[in-house]
Amino acid sequence: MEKDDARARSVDESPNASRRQALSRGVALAAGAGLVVATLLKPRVARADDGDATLLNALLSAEWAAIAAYTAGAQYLGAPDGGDPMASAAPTVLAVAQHFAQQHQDHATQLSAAVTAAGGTPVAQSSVTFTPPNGWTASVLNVLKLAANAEKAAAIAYTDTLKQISAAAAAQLVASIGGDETQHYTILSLIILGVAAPTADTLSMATDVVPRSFTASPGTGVEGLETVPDFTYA
Amino acid sequence: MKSDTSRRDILRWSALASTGAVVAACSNDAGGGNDAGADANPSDGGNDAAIGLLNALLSAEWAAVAAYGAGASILQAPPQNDPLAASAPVFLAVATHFQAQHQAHAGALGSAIVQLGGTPVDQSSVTFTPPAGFTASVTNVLKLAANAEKAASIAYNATVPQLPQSNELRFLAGSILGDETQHFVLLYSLLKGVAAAGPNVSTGANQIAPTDFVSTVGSDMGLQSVADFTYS
Repeated sequence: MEKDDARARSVDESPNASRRQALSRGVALAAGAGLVVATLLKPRVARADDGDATLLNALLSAEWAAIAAYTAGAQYLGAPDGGDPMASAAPTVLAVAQHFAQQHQDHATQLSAAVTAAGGTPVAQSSVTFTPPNGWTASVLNVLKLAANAEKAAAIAYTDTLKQISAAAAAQLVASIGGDETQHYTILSLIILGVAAPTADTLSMATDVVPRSFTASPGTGVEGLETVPDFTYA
Repeated sequence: MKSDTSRRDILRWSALASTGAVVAACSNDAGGGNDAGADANPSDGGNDAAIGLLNALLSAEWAAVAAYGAGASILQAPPQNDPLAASAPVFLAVATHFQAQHQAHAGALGSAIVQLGGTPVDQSSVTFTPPAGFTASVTNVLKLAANAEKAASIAYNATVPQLPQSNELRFLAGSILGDETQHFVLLYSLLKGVAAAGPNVSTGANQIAPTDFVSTVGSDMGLQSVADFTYS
């Protein structure tokens, strides 16, 4: 805790500057997360005649937004305010956030390929813009809450998209990513609720928090939970 | 652990571990060999294939219900020297919660089968085979459940592309899949030591995978019914 506090203070000792930094980080992060939620609503209101490419592109947009949001969140987690009551947990939360961001990158890669296979043009990562949610201020807890809310919305959106998607392979991909979003949501929400807590090993084993980007492999060279060994009995 | 009861319980638990394999095998057969990566719509095969797939999933859910019930009996009376005996009541609450969710999945699958004109497999038809090396302990109950939930997640994912797009069957399978993955990730994280029980765990079992389905199925609400966290 003391070490983290000292690191946070070393960024800028000025109260005003610190406040500005926090606000700046807050706007950036909040903006990203806001877009995540907004974008993820698209599949649920998609028209009945929307094709697979449109549906998949809506999900791809959400993945780009998630990456942007986690990246912005990482900026705050890398140097939380000294007065943040969860500042000491920031390095662990940062490691998990970076792991989740990488998994969203993996999703985006597969969705881009699926959009192309469906005859569409993948939406560009640079097309994402940001709008901050109301009431958001920068803190470790609020980073967790933003992420949990967005992952929940994503899980629902992916599942609802299965009502409309046509191609079998695309359906499997959508289901496989949806199962990963629910895992992110579970971990984040349980930590926020105090039902689960990080351990001393979480920081060094962050990639084991949600061990694969996909529930099941969507294609050659991409690993799903099939590659996670079963526990053996002692 | 009383001998006869304990043995039967372990046998029943094994069903959970074999759930995924059962579903995967059945879905491959019933799906008419439709490759998961193929774009063909399986609805061409009519309702029989879908009924077969759904019944395989239903069998697995019945096995899970039975297995969690058996696991509960171990957690209610863990071996006295079990190092996790003190945690057994908390895990029992979680196991009971997960079991109820598998029961809800079974109900939804049974309804879907009936709507397709099929007959849901009966709960009593499930049989059990013990996994090699399993002995009764709190840790082994968690391991068996984690292995089985992982297998179930993969199996549901494999089944999705084999189901027809119509009748929202893919949606139903996906909505259950996401619940299984929630079960898996908590159990996995605890066993790997990357998460531990938090201060509110004793009263929070129902907040772990808080809804039976990821998205609302019929009158059974999904995660839409879980309020967003507010910012402080």
